[in-house]
Amino acid sequence: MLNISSIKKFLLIAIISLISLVWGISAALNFHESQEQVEELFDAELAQMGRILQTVIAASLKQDSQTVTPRLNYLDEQLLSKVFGHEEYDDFGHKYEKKLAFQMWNSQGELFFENHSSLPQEFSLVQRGYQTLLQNDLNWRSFTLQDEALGFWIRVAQREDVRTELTNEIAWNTTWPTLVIVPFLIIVLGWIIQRGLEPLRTISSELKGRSYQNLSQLNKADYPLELKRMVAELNNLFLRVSEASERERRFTADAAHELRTPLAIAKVHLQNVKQISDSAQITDFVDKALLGIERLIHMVKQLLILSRLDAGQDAEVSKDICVNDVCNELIHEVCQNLGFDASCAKLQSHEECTWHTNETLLRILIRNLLDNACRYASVNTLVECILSKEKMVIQNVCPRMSEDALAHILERFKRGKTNQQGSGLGLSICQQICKQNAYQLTIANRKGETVGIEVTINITADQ
Amino acid sequence: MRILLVEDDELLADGIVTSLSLSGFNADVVYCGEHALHALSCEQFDLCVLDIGLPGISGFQVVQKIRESNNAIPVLMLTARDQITDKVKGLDKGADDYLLKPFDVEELKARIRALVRRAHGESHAELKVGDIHILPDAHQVFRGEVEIKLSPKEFSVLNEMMIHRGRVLSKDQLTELIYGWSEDLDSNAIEVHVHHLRKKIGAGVIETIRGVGYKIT
Repeated sequence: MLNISSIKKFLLIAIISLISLVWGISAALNFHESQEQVEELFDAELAQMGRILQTVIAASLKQDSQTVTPRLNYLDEQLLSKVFGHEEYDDFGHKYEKKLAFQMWNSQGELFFENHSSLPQEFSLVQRGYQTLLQNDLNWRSFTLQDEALGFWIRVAQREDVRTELTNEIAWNTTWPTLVIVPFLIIVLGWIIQRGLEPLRTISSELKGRSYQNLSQLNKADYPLELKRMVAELNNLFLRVSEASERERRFTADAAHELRTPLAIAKVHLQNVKQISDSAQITDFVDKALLGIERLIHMVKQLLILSRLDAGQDAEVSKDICVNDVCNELIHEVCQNLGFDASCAKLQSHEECTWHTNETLLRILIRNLLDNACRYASVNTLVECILSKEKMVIQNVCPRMSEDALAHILERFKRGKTNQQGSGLGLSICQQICKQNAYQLTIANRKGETVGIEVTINITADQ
Repeated sequence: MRILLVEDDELLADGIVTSLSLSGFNADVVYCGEHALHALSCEQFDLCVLDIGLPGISGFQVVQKIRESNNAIPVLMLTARDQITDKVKGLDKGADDYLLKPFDVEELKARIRALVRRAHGESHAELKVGDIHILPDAHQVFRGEVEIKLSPKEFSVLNEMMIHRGRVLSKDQLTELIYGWSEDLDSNAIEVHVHHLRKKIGAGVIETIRGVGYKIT
């Protein structure tokens, strides 16, 4: 099957090639046919001129006498020279006037008149009808006839090169208008093809301008008959994807419900036990069980977030968000949740940074990164969040990570230190959010004297 | 304080009821929306804790029907649905607050107290009438600077009368507010509690309106 990378290009090349080919062949045939017709016409004229000459000469000879060697009177010679002369046409003539030469022999084969000395004079070469004669490197087209009554011979001839020149000129004059039309035809064709493909471009623009969550149907009425089927199939696809997405959303919602409710049951009952217990040992056990529940709750929350991100469900309209405010708020929240002092993390920014993004996802992203940085930071060290309009760098002080560990850090369920309560999903969620927003996420050991990890979110790729 | 818990999961409902009872709340539970609407139309509650995913009519429909019947009872939606759209939908239908499972019971109780307080036009957690003030969160009652020790039921009776101060509460209303469906009680239980309260906080605070009920002013 022909590989078509561009319908427009394909149609233009194919149609223009075809038209050029057909037009070219047609022009060539036309040219050739015109040449033949003109040649025929010239031959006919040659014969006609021969017969006129025969009539004139016969009349002139009759007035004279039935001499063996006829003589033309002076006036006749002048007239013939004028009519059949080989000079250039004058101001009242036409450029296509033939430069004719003629010869006359009597019945004994003696040449008694010619207006041009370039033709062969031998009577032996004389034969009735058309001939092509070569004399002094010039080709002549001749027509010869004999007057039946008086027996004299007349040869009327034209130079082939003159005939060819005239023939080509006439043939070309009939051909060039056809060739001149071709470029205009190509331009018009190009416009027609462009116009014909406009609905395809409209569909393309419509789909290109859509967000990946927009699975609304295309309006079939807006498109021509030939595209209606394709639009219908696209709409079917949108419907199927939409239904699959809805099923996924429902599944996640149901999973959220089915996972959260048992956790709530366990948590409530454990808290009740803790409330009524007088035993320090039981309270200790319950606290540990509650800690386990909290870890499970955290993991479920992260799994649900990841599942929704994978399914593209957490989409909301992007807006301008002051990231400084979000960072300050989340630093406070994360420190509080981890039971750390608020001074263990700090925002550094010399300007107000507004990012155009999805606030919910941005909060999840920054919260997860801060949470990780704080959890894995060495005791009594500072987690710094350095913010600018183009990027955010979160860095902590902690033991160096091997290149191998860094290479796998974004993998799901990959955890750093095992005594931490993370789910191993936080950074995977961050990666997914960055992917959705076309941010660049890099995690590396800090450069310089301070040993630690540095996470950079570069948003310039997208904004 | 009487609370109607609408939760289809019996294990969770049992845990919440126990937790609320331990903190002096009187919680009754129903397991579907239809029963919740029936209970709310027949009896008086201070607050409704409502799950969204219920068999039969959903929590959204229940809260909508509650508001359509011009019942202004505070409704706290308790659900496992964590999507913003669900929260917005619940609040738009008429819920007053929203708590996501799994939750901390202390947070649940605090939200319940805050909602009831707001429903009675109070902005502070402390209820005060004359020199008597109570701290519902801490379950403490003071007359002047002196703390008065009350039993959970006595505290509940005083708390209800302080919440509805200036209004006469009949014995039946107080019974409904203090006791759940599952509790057996004597017909004169309220009178006994009022009697004990008068002895502990002093006479003249709780006024008897003959043939009608009691009030604090």
